[in-house]
Amino acid sequence: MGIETEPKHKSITVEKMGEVVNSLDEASKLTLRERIAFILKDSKCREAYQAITRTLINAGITATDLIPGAGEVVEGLILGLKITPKVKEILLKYVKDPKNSAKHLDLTPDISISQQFMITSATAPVEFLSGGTIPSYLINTLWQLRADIKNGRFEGARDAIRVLMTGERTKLTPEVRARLDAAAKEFQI
Amino acid sequence: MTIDRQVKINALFTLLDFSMIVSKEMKDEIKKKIEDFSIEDIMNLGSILAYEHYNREKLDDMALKTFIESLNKSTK
Repeated sequence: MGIETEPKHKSITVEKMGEVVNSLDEASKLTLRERIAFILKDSKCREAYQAITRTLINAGITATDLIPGAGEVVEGLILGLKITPKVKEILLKYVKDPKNSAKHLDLTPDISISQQFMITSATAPVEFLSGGTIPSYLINTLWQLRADIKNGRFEGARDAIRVLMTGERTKLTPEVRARLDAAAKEFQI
Repeated sequence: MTIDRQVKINALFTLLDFSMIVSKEMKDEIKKKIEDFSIEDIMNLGSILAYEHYNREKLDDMALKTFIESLNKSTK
């Protein structure tokens, strides 16, 4: 049997097995790198991970937008990425995997270019009159957040956090728990 | 094979798949050998994995001893 280490044919002792069980207990969990790789492989978890990252970056840009001048520069760059393929092309020169990275560069993928044009046209006069102190990028942030929630992109967040924190890959859903309870009952004395 | 034995084996497989204390390699070993296990050993292993399922913790000495005895007996 696989659990018998050395010497062969000798029955395993409680002490030895204790060590094996403890090491297996640790080994059955994933390392941090494996946890992140697992999250990125799982489509639901990956979607949640991207939505969370996008929301945090958008929130950061909104905060920067409170500073007159600085916000406009960042906002301009972000919007430039959306509407100018050339800007994207220049930035992607410095990225290892351009094809894969291109789709992640858009921080508001659910806002079309025409919708973005409408938002910018409506907020530009207000921004100008307020001297750049109104965080108009908040509209983009909330618009995208709403789209992410509406499309259920945060559904995998709980799983992603569980995998990240505990290293446990198996989700104990009520159905799985019921199946395990039924199995465990077979061995109740 | 009696229906009861098959039910116990299926239940043991289910618990094995979700057990945190048994490695994947060990799970595969047990699955391969399980047809040769006596019903008593299947019950012993199953009751320990059921204990783990209910408590989600490491085996205590007594449970560990029974687990090892069952495995040693089953694989002689």
